[in-house]
Amino acid sequence: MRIEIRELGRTFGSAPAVEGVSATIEDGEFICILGPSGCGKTTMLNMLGGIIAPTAGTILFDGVDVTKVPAEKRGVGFVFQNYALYPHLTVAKNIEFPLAIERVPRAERRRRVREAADLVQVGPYLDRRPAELSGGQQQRVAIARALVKNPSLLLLDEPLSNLDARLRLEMRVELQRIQREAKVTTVFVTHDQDEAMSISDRTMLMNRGRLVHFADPQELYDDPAELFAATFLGNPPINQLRGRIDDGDLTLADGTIVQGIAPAGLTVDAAIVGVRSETVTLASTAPRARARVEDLQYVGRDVYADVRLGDARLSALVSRREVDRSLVGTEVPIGFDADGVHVFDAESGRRIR
Amino acid sequence: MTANRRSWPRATAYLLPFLVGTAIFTVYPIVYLLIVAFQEDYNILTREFSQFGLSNFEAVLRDPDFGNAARNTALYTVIVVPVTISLGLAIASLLARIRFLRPFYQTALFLPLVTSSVAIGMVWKYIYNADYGLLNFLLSTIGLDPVNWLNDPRWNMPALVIFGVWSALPFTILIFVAALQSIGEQYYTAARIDGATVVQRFFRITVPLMGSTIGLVAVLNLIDSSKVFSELFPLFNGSPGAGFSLYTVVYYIYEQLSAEWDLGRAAAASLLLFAAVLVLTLLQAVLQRTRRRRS
Repeated sequence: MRIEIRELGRTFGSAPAVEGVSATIEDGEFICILGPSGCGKTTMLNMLGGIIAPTAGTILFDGVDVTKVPAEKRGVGFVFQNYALYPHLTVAKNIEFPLAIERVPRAERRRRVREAADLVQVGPYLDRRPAELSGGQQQRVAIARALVKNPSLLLLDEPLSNLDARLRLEMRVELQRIQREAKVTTVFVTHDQDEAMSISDRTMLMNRGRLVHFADPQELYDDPAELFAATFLGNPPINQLRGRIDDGDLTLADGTIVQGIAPAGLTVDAAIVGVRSETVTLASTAPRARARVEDLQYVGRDVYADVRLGDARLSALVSRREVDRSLVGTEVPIGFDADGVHVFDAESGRRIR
Repeated sequence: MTANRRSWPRATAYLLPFLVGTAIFTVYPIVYLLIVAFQEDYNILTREFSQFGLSNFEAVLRDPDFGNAARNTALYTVIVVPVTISLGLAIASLLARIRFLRPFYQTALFLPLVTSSVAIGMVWKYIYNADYGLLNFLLSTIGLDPVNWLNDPRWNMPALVIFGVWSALPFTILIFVAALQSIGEQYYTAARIDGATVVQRFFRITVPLMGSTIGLVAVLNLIDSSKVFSELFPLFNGSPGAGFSLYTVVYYIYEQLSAEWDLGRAAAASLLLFAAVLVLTLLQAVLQRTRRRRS
């Protein structure tokens, strides 16, 4: 199902939770809504599901305005953060619940429960109660219950956040498989960037109720629309250099000059230059400045170098072959790959280059 | 147990007043009642008896008055308990939805529990009055003939049942509201997403999740209504209704004591009532366990 969201907004009291969000989700896409807590991502999901009514804007399902259609008439499947499985019903009865409400004939009900249970691989547990299942199994049952009525849209509210780390990785892969097999348009809420990056076709990055950037996760990382996108995605966090850009040269507050970090001809009074740590090179053949190596941290096959550039600190991801301990305390020429450097307006956070 | 040795004389000293009170006013009478029930030809003045035996029980069970009392009590209970539970559940579900009224109804519901039964009796006598009572007035507005609630043997039981339900409702509703509020909102949201209507949500989620609470309240109401007796005082000045239509088991016990001075029979009848309530309570517990296992 194709979903169009137009200028969607919701205020609670006087505080806006979601503001002016517009986006189009194509049929069969797997979309993640990503953002820090309080960014409005769950409110967005609840508005798509009809649990919360928007205070502004419209939602269209396949061109039909459903903004005022209540949850029970939208035909969406919903997986809750804590699963909300009915404790008094067995797994089979839980999955069957939506069909029983729809008064689907008994034989068909049984067949579809079987199918849904097999899809999420909970077939052996049909006679158990939710309390007798592990977190991962409960999660699968909740997905089966959401899918059994063949929804045109599947909504998941932080479904992996209650699982332990290993199970979470496993369920990510499972979710992708299930989504592909069920061929259902899916919207998934998470605050975990790795989850969003690994699982989704496209990610809606939200901050303070606004949609910051809606793109495929790699683009989000490579081409952030705002400083917020650049800082929220990536680990270690993107390096930030504050200063004045004059014809491509950056002057930091203490007067240190980084030559040609931005394209020639660019002049910005107050800029923040974001530099991904993997694009920093030490002992560069095309140096932009000299920087002092303060420390080296060996993490498996990678080395993180803590570098001081004027009054700024940088973290550089370098390979073990390039560096050794003797560099610590020395000054080295430092360079940057142009495609890992982004220039933002310091005031608005908008990307300039 | 980690209670240290030195603290326990002190603990005993604190508990002693309570233990003495319980022993004198609860344990002793129960034991005494158990013994007296099996003592034949007990003389209440001399405390003499001929032998241990079952003659008291035999006499009670053969007594047509006791049969009448048992029938009346059973009828009363069988109507009051289910009606109270269903009405209580319906009212509690509605009340639980109206959040802003909560402080009001929580106070209002407690009023009958703390009001003097004499005052309540006065009000209900007025409500039931055949000539100018509120109930008959309401009946007349929908075109029904007035009913002589308090003096017509056919209407005494309905009058007592209505009063009984009214008395049992507040407590029932309070317990139900508390239980309803402990049911997670997300179950209702989930059911709504799945297309369940208000009525479906009530029968498929609320009722099953309240199962154990409903069972508990049913037992408490059962115990209470099987002892129906004191209600007769405010409404009927302590008479067992016109034509003995409200002659209950506890009234029978009371009469054995106050009119016949037959402590043996009173004790035997008490034990029979206790046994009946115990059996019903156990039955309820067993039913609930099998139901839980089955579903």
